[in-house]
Amino acid sequence: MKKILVIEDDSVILKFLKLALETNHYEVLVATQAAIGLNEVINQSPDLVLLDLGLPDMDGMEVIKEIRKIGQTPIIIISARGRELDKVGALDLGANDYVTKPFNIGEVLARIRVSLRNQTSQNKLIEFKFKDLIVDFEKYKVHLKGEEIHLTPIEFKLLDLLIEHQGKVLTHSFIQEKIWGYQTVDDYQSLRVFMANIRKKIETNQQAYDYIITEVGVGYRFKDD
Amino acid sequence: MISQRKKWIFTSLTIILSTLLSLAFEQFNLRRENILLIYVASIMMIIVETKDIKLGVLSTFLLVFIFNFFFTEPKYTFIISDPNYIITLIIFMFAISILGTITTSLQKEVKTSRNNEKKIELLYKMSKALLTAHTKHGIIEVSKAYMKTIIDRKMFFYFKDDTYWDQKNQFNDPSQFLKEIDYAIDNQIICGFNEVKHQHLDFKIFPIHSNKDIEGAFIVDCEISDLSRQEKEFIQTGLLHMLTALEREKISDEEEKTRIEIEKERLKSALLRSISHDLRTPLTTLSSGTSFIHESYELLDDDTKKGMLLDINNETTRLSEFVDNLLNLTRLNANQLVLKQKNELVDDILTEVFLRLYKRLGNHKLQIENRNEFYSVYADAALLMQVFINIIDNAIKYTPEKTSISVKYEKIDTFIHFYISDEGGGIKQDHLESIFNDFVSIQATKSDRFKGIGLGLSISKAIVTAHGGKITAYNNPLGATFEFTIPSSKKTYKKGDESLKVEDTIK
Repeated sequence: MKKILVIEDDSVILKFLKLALETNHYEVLVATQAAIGLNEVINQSPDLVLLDLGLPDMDGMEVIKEIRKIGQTPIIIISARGRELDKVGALDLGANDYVTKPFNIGEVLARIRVSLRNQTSQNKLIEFKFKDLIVDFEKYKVHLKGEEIHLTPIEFKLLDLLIEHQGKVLTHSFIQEKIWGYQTVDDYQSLRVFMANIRKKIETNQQAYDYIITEVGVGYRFKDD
Repeated sequence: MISQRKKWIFTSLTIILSTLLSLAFEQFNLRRENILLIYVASIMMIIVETKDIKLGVLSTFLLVFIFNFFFTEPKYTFIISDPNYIITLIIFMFAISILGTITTSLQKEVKTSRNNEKKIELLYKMSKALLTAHTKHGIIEVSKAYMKTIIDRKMFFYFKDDTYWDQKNQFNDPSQFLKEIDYAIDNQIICGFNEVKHQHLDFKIFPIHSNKDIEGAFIVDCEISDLSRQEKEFIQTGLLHMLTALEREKISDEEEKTRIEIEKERLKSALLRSISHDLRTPLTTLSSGTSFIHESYELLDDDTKKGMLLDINNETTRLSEFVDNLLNLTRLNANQLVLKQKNELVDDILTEVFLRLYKRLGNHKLQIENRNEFYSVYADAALLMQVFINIIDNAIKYTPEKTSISVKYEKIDTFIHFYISDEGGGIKQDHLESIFNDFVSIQATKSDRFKGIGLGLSISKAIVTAHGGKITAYNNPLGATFEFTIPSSKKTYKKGDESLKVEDTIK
């Protein structure tokens, strides 16, 4: 049974989260203060942390830093702070995902599943299949509905990165760093252009994208259903 | 300066003494050259002392005649028999005139440099004084005082934005005067008396101009005499110093304004963040609770579901109270909140507060101590209840479960004092000081948690103040105590001097 630590100071929300998680067969640890929460991370080594950013004793951003000093436990932020700036800040500090209050329990549970699965499937895939898309990582080939699609090396690297973190939001700066290895000051224009090109090649449904979702002002996420 | 009479006396005395000395030399048969040297020395003395070249020339002639009369053959006549003496006398006069010129020009030099030194010193003092001067008015006054010490005549400043114009009615035709000033400013030249433009005026206009929107002029009266070159230079340098000070002042004014604007914006967004946090927290319970019950209806037993529904219900109450607070806040800011004051029994109000809060108490204990059935307050019941609910609700939310919250009240003079105490370990000192007035400063500590407190408490303060009471917070051995006063009857009610304003910043 997976162990989840919830750090949240509002008692009612905490109660509901605990109930929902237990109903879904998770073991739940709770903390109403950051200090207690950090202590639990060290002593109980939970499989995942749900973290509210507005805690009484410490700012949530600091808590992320502290947890990252201890290890790579997945962190999902649950916060009333809904600005892109806050999201990007938390994700860049090492949070794995970000859910804005008010949320549905179902949504939180889905994000938890994604983060836990990413955690377990560390070894590199040889072949990836999702909907009509097949990516062969050994031969560097991409097939959509059985037809081969040509991607440039950088486009392939981008797709690879998104698939590796399927279901998780990747911030612009994270992608930039991973693909190009340096930061830019042009507001990620080239990254946007590359993403648009990939989409042109793999997204056939123009109303709703099947594979890559844009998180406005934050980054991109490979779909996970 | 030595007076004219003294000069003459000094000159005559020198000539008489030097002649007497020469006669004495003659008596002892000393050489003639010595006598000539005595005369050279006395002429030098006259020039140096009287600083008057005319007097020097005059005494030279006089001494030449005296020398001729007393010491050249034939003696005691003005006839010169030896042509040698004529040459001697010519060279003598020539040397004296050169010496005289050098001496006087040297003296002039000394005088000018002394003057310049004095002016530079004054300018230095002026710029130093300008450094400590603040406000436009102060800077101009300082500049004027220093100008006056050097050039003692009628002078005044004029500024286009009309913020400073002394002696407005100085001139018969101000419109004509303004045209002349505009000309000086636009062309950046000095106009007026003895200048290229507007020579007919009996004053000079010095333009004051900078790209920081400072435009004006300095007007100096020239009715009696023109300004010297040095005086003009001094005025121009002085004006430059003043302009620098004015620009500096203007820039710091602008910076201050920007700073206030930024601060206002910061407070505004802090308030918005606070409101959004306070709305989203109960909404989260509603949204996550209902969606969870919906999705897992079969998995949950009846008691769990009932408990969750109660929680959801409590959160809706809290949410609607928050909306009330927001509405009151808006009304307070618009000065539209009218107090509907009546004599109300304290006991009634507390009973109602208790009823409205008890479902939310959870594992907290709320107790009302030393009830007194006869005390009454002159208050707007709905608003006063809001004060209680705000304070007690905060205590419920932010103190550990199973601790108690107590309400106590007593009558002191004409006011009822209320004390609401919790056992939550107290509030940090720096928060205590600013918890009501400056709720935003608490927000500055990044935690969202204090935002909820801030809004409710600053509204509580506004309500209490509007009733003519006071509110404070302090720590007790177990936790925090909020104390506030409400007048016990209409007679003692005085509208609070702070009236109905929460924070200017909230606008």
